[in-house]
Amino acid sequence: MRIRRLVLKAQKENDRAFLKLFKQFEQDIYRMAYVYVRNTEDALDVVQEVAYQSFKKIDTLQRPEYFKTWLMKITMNSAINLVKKNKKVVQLKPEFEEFVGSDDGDILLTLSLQELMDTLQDDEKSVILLRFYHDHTLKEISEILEIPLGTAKSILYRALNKLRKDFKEAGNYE
Amino acid sequence: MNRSLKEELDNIQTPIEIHEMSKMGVRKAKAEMGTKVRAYARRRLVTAILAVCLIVPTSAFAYEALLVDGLFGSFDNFKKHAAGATMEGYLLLNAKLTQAKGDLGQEQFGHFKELLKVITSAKIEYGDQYGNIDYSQVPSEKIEEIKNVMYEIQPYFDQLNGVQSSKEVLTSEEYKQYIDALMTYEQILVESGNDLKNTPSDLQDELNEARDVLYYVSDKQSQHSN
Repeated sequence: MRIRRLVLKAQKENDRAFLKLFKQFEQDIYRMAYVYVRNTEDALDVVQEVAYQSFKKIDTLQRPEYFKTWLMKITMNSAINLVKKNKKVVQLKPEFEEFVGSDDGDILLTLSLQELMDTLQDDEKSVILLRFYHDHTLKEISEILEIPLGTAKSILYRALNKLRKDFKEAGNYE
Repeated sequence: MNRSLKEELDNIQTPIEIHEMSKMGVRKAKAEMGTKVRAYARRRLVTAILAVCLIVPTSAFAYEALLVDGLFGSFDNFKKHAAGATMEGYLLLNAKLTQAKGDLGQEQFGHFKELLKVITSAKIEYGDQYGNIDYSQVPSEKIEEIKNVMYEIQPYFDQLNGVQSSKEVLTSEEYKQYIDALMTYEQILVESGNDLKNTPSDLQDELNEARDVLYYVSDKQSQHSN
């Protein structure tokens, strides 16, 4: 398999092979990151951080077929860390922010995604993204996030409740 | 839910500079990994140089060192441990060098190091598995160079060995003979496979002569120490 071959090459510190591989996932990484950090600049920073961390640690990846899952895990951790870091920085006052305006020209997000970003906590975003964007089962999510299955379930229900959408679906994804 | 979220996420436009960011991340990682590799290579190199330095004294130090079976056993044996540099050997060298630095002063120590470098590189280039140079294989101008360095470095070795400088206690003629004897000795070690018991009979006289010179110098040095 192509990914497997590239991972093996990258594990030998072949940066070209790594970038070829990484390119296939960088848009997913960016989008995932965006859900947490909610602006272009920080999402790009997360992409850079994920590239940095994953290339540095790729020799620790034992099963190449899990490369994507592994990248997503690094993405979520990096994004959450950045959000935490930003919270420590003194925020601009809303009115001032308004005055400065939003110059990043971010796309107009549809309401439900906007809702997801606005209403959910970071751990809830992680579970929702893994479940509905990457189609992982709850069991897989609990393994990726290193949390008990019960916790993964309750986070998912809580998130779905918040979003007030399709409650019924949650029970079917185990 | 499933489908709509996917669609919405896929609608998040990705900036064109995204791949540039990936490259930057990899470059940063690579630079750090490179430092790690270089640091590791440097350590290995230092160890290798230390190893060679340790060999030098065994043959270039005065005859006591030559008569014992080499301070660290055979060069081969030592090489096996070179990556981890035996603690004993390392400490000994360290002590010798620290001592050299303390006793000789900065400028002299620098000079000593320069001289040592010539001998070390000669050992690497021409030495056998025991670190002894087969002078019959060395170009004559190189022999001259090594000889000149030995003239200069031997007093330092004497000082490190805690004995009187051979250059001082001997006449210039005797000193020349001494250096020649050291080189002859080394040559015979090569020819006898590092075991003087196996010295070819035609070299036995030469060996005895060289030994006599070394004993003579040793006597002279100890007389002056008392």
